[in-house]
Amino acid sequence: MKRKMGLLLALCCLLWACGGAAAAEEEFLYDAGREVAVYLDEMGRSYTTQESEQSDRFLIRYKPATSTTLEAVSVTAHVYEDFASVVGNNLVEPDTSDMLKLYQTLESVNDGVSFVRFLYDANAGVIYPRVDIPYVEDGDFGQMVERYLYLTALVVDQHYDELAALEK
Amino acid sequence: MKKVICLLCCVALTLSAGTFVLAEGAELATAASVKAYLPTVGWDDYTARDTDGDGFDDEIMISYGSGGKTASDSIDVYCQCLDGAARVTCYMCEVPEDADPLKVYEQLNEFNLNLTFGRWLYNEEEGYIYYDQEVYLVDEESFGAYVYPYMEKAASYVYSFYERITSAIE
Repeated sequence: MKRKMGLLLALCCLLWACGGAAAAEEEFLYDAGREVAVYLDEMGRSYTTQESEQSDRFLIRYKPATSTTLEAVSVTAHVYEDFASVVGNNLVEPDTSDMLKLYQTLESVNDGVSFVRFLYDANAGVIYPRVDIPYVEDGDFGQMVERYLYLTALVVDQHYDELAALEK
Repeated sequence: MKKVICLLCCVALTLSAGTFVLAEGAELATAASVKAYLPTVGWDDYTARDTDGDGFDDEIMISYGSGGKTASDSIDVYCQCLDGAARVTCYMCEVPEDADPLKVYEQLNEFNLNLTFGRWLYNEEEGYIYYDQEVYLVDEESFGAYVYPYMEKAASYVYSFYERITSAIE
């Protein structure tokens, strides 16, 4: 009996250690970030996390299906306490000799896409995509973020060539 | 039209087979969810319309008082419900015919860069600026809770930035 109790205790300790190790392995700033991680893990989605003091960050690389020039599309979810910002990598450094043409082209692209917007950052001199999602408790937030990561990559893949035409 | 087609294509590409089959003659789950959620945040008096003539409401509108901050008495925010997504839109302001389009676009880009939860677009042909954001359906029960923040933000930004943008583009 004593031996069985000992084995049981050892098993309990082992299980507790594993659970603790898993929890300790990933530390998140926000519950929202943890929800995203849990969902991505459940889906078996490959991602990398990035250290940040402001947000929990998840980066996924997608393989394009449409673009003839893109080798990969990287999209990062910056997860805060009450929302997530899904941002694609810098896509193009546009020719700024005709700003009206640049903006009109960007407007035309934005008018024809859904869920995501393409922005021109004048300070950085780049165009990149972005979409924000509010955090809803018990609202499958992890799945929402995963879908928007995918949608962002999809939109980039489908419209990259249009934006690349703006390059210097 | 182009945007609606794109929206539907995006939704179709991300849907699992058979997950979102709509029973014939049923209200859209997106519309039902938004209508169920709005009263929980104080919006009992939303307006719902059947815009496609199928006998079920697919457009929901909430109307905020503008408090004299805009050219109109109200700030109306629309949610056009589709199968698997919804589109939130809100009119910001008219663009004067003699406005410098570069100034308009610069202002819009600044909005898009610095504001959250949606994008700002310029309908150059008809001369107005508006807010536009699509919301993807993941869970029917919580969908309304996801849509509402976009509607609220749209109205809030129109209220807060109407004067700024109209001054910048005149």
